[in-house]
Amino acid sequence: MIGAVGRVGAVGGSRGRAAVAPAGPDFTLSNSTVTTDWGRAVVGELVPSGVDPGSVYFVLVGDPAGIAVENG
Amino acid sequence: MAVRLTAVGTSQLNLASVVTKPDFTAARTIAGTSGLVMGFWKARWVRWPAGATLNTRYFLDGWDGAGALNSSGLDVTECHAVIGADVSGSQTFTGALRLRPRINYVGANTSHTPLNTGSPGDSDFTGLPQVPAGSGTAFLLVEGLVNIGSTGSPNWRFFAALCPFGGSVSSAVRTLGTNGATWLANTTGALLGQIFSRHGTNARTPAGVVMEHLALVQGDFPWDTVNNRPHHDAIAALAGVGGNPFLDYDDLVAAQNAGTLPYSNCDQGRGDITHWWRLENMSALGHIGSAAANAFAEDGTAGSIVDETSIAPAHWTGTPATPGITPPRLTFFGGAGTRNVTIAGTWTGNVERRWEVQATGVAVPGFDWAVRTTTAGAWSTSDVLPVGGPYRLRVRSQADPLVTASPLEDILVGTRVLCHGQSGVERSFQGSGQQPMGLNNLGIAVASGAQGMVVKMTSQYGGTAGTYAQPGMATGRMRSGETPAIGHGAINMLNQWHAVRPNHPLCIINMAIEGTAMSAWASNAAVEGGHPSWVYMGAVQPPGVTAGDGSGVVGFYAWLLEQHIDAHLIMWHPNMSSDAAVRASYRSEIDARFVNAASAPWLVLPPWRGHRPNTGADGIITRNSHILFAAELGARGFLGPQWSDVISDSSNGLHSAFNSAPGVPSATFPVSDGNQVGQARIGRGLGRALARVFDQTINAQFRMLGAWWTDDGNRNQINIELGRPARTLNGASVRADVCWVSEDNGATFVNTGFTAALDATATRLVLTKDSGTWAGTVRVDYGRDWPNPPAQTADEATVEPLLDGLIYDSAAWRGRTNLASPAGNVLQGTNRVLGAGVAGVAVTARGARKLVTFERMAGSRSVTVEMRALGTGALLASKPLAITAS
Repeated sequence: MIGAVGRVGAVGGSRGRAAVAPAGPDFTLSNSTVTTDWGRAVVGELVPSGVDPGSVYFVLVGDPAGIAVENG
Repeated sequence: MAVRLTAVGTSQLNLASVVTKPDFTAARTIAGTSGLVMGFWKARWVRWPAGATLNTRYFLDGWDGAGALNSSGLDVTECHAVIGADVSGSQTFTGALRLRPRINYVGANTSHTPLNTGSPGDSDFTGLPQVPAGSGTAFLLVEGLVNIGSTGSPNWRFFAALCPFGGSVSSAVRTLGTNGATWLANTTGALLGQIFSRHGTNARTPAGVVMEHLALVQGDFPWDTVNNRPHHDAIAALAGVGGNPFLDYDDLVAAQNAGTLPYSNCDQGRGDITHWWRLENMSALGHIGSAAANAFAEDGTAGSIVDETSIAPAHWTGTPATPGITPPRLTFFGGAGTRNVTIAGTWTGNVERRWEVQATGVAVPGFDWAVRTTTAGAWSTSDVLPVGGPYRLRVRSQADPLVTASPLEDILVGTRVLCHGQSGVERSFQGSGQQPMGLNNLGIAVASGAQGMVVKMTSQYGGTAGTYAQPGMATGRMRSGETPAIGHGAINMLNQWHAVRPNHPLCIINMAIEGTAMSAWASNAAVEGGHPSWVYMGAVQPPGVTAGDGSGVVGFYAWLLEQHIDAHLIMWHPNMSSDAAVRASYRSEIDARFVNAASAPWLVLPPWRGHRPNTGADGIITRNSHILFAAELGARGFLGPQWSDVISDSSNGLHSAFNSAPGVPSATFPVSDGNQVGQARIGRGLGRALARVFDQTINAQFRMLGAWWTDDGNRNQINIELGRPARTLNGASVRADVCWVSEDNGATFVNTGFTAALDATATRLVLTKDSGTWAGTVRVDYGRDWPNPPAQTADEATVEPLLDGLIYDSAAWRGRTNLASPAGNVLQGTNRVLGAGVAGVAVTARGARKLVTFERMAGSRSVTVEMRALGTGALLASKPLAITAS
């Protein structure tokens, strides 16, 4: 299948503006710093993109201590 | 035993390596002190053969350089200790002094003696009598070189001394001859190469000569500064005569190095026994002493030298004095490999110490033999040993490495945790009553590789003024693979600790005392029912024999632990103070006594009573105080999982089950621990919970993070965010009766009128009202009360199924053991006292998806978050997210 997936530009350049592929599903974290205590503290919002926000949920991978995802 | 030459000209004993002389004019290190210009001395016990015809000279010990004959016809070209007077170099030995000892030492290519002024020849000590020949009497012959001046300005004397067994001391002293200076600086001359002589015809050792305890000592022999001679008291002490304590070589050297020889007018000097050939039999011809191994071997007709009954006085064959090791207060050292392990002891000279792994005898890397200086008879060693053990400490005399102390064994280095509270804590390790170590009713074995200890005070109440019993300390060892008679809660705690912190010994110090309130401890009150001077906090010292003497429970433990602890563990039910000032006072009083542990963490385990109504001080008030206490501790506080009394002993005291044989409830307390729901389960949980204090990656736990309405308009379904996947056990339905809803903003709660279930992602607990909608300001909580009163849960067989419907972290290991305290904690942190806006979690409209924390942490962390499709769970995106916590 190598070479059969997509057509990512042509060697030697293309004329005019390159076509922008539609963005795939992605997400961002709105903030990355947090002051913690023994209660709940919000780090930031998980913001979906390229997908209907109401059709997704988030999960943590692994077993990180003291950190969680809230889906609502 | 000794060795005896049986025939003339047949055998001699040759050293593997000739012992050469050092440069006596140069400064040397002797007995641990450098920069010394000192001499040496040599001594031996000899018995001359009875009835022998002795009319020539005879060699005792020396060096037969090459077996060649010298100009005088001697086969021994370089000889040292000689018996026999050589009259004017004639080789004629007659008269009363023909058996007078004579001494030669050789400087290569110079002279046969540093004493003569002319041609080579024997060095007569005219002041000596002849040896007691013919009588079969043994004698001690000592000779050597002494600097009676100073290091900067040496003044040398040669001496020889003689003392027959049971007789008196004679000595003679000579100054160096013209060859002396050359000999002093020479470093190729020999000090010793052989015992006896078999070559030639006119200097061979006579048949029947016996020798024992030949020693070569670097340093100066004790000197009589008034009579200007080797101190006769010292020689007498070696010979077993006189009024002073009898000594052998190492006793003498140790005493002179310590400066404790009791003789008058004595320049004690210093010494290092480099060689001591005991010559106790022909099978033991090696030496002891600080020099490298150098053994004698028979040269000649094998079997010509034989074993002989000992000729030395009795004190030479007795048990020698050895260095002492003072047992430490506790053989378990904390600090997890970061603090000194300090051991002290006694000895008259410097010692060497070696730490070794007890199981293998191999030295702990970096802790092999090393000198430790003795001052005023006391030595100590401080070593930062790595986590582990058991270790063995060996100590030996530096001057005589075969003089060893009885080793100190079973030393552990790891983490020590101090447990605070009352009976709930106390009995989780020791069981009922006042058995300090408790009972291992379940026969639980210590995990392979695990090592631990339990420490508990005995007679902790002290008794009244009339019945005072001095409190002491009991310790119990938990050794890998053994099944010790120690409370199985403690063993399980160690085993689970070991599972996540392998080969890291754990010491559980059970300071809790049943029925006592934190406030009494904080105020330093007298221990209830005890001597009025025996208090809770008190001074850092052990209590007296007849009274508490102002010492205290905490003070005693602090003294025992050298005021250091690695971690505190606290669950204080029901008498944890609800007053923040009292809690602060308690903490500060503890810290004041454990001054070497100013930053030690506190693991706070809020009680969660399943067995009793969870109202008032019995339940949620105390739990709330624990949560507050963890917060008040700041960075030192670690809020752990709940300490749950799944099964109590029916005494209403938050006592975990511990009483009976497995599955056989006792007549007194209708519970057992057959399924490990009580003490055993608590212990398991504590092991992991404590480990997590030191390594927060060990596991995580979920809590009730937030709640939102499925449909704001209907207000009949609440979603409680858990943040992590959860589950029930054994396929049970989620119990709704441990879920609580308030319609008055947390002032009151009910646990009826709704159902409960986990949603499809298992990260959300969903409460659905049976009918109608919830009104008012709604808050939710979990486990405010656990409706399993004693009437419903008479024994563990009844209560166990009830536990299945609780919710647990989905991580496999947390499953069945979750409830009673592994760190995976059910919804901890939400159980607060009733109060509007305080208890529980507010139910709101659904908010944004969020990344949250629910524990205190600091620094950079990275987590991976996945975005998945609702319904299918298909992975849509995944990425690491870096956060910075403070």
